[in-house]
Amino acid sequence: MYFLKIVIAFLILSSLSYAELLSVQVKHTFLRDKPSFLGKPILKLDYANQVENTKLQNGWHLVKSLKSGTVGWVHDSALSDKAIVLNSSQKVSTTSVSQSEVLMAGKGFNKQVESEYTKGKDNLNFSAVNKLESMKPQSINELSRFAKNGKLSI
Amino acid sequence: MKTTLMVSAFLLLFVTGCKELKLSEIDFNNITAEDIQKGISFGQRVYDASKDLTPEQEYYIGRSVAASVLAKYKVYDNKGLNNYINTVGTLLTLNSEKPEIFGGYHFAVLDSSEVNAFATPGGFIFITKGMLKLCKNEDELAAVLAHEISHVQLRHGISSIKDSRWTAIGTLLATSATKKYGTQELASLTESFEDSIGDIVNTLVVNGYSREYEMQADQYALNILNKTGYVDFSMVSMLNTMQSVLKNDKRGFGATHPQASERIESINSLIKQPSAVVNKTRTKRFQLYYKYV
Repeated sequence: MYFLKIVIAFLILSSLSYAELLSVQVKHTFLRDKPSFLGKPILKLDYANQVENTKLQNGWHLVKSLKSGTVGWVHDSALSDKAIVLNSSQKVSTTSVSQSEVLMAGKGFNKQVESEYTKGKDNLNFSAVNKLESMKPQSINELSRFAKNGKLSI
Repeated sequence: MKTTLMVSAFLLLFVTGCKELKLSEIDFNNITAEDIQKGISFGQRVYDASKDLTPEQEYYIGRSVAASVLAKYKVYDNKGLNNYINTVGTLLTLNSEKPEIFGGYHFAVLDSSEVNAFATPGGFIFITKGMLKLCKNEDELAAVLAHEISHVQLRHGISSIKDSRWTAIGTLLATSATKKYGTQELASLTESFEDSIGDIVNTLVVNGYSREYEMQADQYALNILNKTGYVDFSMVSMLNTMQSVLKNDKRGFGATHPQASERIESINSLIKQPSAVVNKTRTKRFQLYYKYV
């Protein structure tokens, strides 16, 4: 009987957290009109933006942007169940069970630590790293053409 | 019965939250405290302090590891070839479990004849001209890149930070309340950061990952290759090539990776397309760039 209660409690909590809030854990991502990278981007989402999760399908969440109310699909890897705040004065919605933990963006190993680490070192090549990061990524159309020509999936 | 007890303990950990579980407040009837304690011990054992690192922090670690690699090796100055590598690599990531990471994936060819490939935390992936030269077609190139992507996604770089560092790192991350640090806090964080970078660079460039990690990455890579549509046997053919070329080469890949024969043995039964025949269009476009290597 107790075991049954525990299982029921677990299932209720699981279902509650499923319709809860998620945060963007990457610098930028897009809300798309289909659960695929081929889907049309309909809204740009930035780090720490919060979205309301509706359902999960093959690694894609159907979500609603808390900021604009726009509905679309975001890949699971771009989202965290932890609330992320950009600064200590920022208010975030943390009503959900799944977002009971709040992370502060930029805390710990950050830009300031990186700058301190580089001081006096001549065995690091950050300009090459910055150059790599500034390279324009392939457009989804280019990738799609490349995949199609080589009989590959996207 | 035993299974039921353990499942109950496991569920209890979820329902009550690990930190708030008080054994005295729970009437278990059929569950002994010993069973619950086993569940708790199991939970504590599988808790990994490295999980406290956010993707953002992992990205900053990766930037510094990449800066260290790029001080030793130059990026090969060929835009077309680097674009091609980025296209193949990005396509593989889109078919993987983690297509989106904090700063995105970045692929580059290193101007070195040494046979090697590296992946830093945070998604910087490098392949040397020497390694590229060994690839016979796009599928073999994809096998090398998929293996490196796997190291990123399995967080092998972060796992190579010595266990002894995590207590200090964990304390620093838990106690620092802001993202702008004072002198003392900054000095402590920077010291931990530097030690962590040192551990990862040492693993990537000098010692290599454990056999276990290499084999994990090979197996994980097969899934990425299959989902993308590349011939997974290309992983075996690439390892065979490396085996014959690196027989006596103790530099780079030869020094940091286990014997190819061992790796082939661990993936042989998982190969879904046991044929070396690859798509002609893919091979043709590979050859267009191969001439620059």
